[in-house]
Amino acid sequence: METLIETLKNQIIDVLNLEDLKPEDIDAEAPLFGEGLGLDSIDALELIVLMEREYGIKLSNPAEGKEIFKSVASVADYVSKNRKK
Amino acid sequence: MSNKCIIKSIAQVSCQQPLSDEWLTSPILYDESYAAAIEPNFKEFINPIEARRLGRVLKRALCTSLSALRQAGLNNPDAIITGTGMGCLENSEKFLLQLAQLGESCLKPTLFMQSTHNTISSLIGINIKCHGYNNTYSQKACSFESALLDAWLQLKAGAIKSVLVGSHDEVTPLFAKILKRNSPDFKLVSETSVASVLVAEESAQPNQIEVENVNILYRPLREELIRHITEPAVVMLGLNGNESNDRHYCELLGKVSGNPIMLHYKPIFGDNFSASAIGFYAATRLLQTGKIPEFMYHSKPAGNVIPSEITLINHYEGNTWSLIKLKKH
Repeated sequence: METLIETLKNQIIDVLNLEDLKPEDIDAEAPLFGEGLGLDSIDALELIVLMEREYGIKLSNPAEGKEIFKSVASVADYVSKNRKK
Repeated sequence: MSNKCIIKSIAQVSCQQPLSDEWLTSPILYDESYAAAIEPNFKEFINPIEARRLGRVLKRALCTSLSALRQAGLNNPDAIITGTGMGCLENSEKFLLQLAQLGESCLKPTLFMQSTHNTISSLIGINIKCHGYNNTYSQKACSFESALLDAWLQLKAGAIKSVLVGSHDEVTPLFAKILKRNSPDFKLVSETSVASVLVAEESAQPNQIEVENVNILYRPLREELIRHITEPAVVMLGLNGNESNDRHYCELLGKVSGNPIMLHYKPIFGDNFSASAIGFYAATRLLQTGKIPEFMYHSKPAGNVIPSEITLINHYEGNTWSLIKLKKH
């Protein structure tokens, strides 16, 4: 799980152009949206595309997103249980 | 049509020092045929969280626009009118590359959203919360003039009192390579972002610069073109060192009466689809300072010249011609 969290942090930095951040700056338990990283709805779209491209996960139920994208740790947990590649 | 169209402020980002007039005294000279723009400190103008999603041309356009608005002491103009030949070229390239590599699924939404030409003008509008007239002109090398003509007509007619007019083009290394392949004798290709605040005044104050006239002519007869250029004292031309481009100016100026003094700007600022906007900026600065640096002369007359009027003449492939007359009061 630690490796997956590190990989996800790097992918999030890359896909969201968070140039000023390093993986160690991101708290795996901190909220991704609102507080914490302060991401917005366009970032959510980018994360959905990232999940599909890198892990073969298609999020069909938007209501799930709120829980899945709560933090890097919650994303890692969902990916480890549902990844297809 | 009685209002005067006054240039209130103007700002540039190019291959010269950005948001600065240093080029007037210490121009940067390039040996290479491609020079990218020198970036200003974006953090002075754009929140880093907001900037992370923006491509280079968008960040430059915001910087020059906000700089021009600050200089003019204006928060919200009545209109925003933008010219761009190629729009957000870098994002378009990245998007197409992803399309080729990944197919039509899983493409980055940000690149898609920010690859359209009107992204620039709308981003400025959103940033300054301007809900007025917002329009984008994409007419190759005549994009700036098209935007300026729209602004000029609306100011003269009294439809608007103030307007932010700009023209912005980026040149990626790939695009520069293609240009070089198609036109091997290109002297300098570079990038341009120019923004200017124009206002309508009933009469001009001393030292103010007025946009006295703007004309765009498509495939004009030579006589018709000459009729629009009435004995100019100083002309600023889009000479770029290519014989196929420059011969049109030489042929025209050979027939214009009055033996005008010829200036050029592309050897210093480079060429691209928004280059005429940097010519407009340079001419404004020359009129404001009342001095013409040696390197701006294509033909140097004897003695000092203190310009009070400059006519900008540009063309694209000899077909589309633009004439802009600036006057210092």
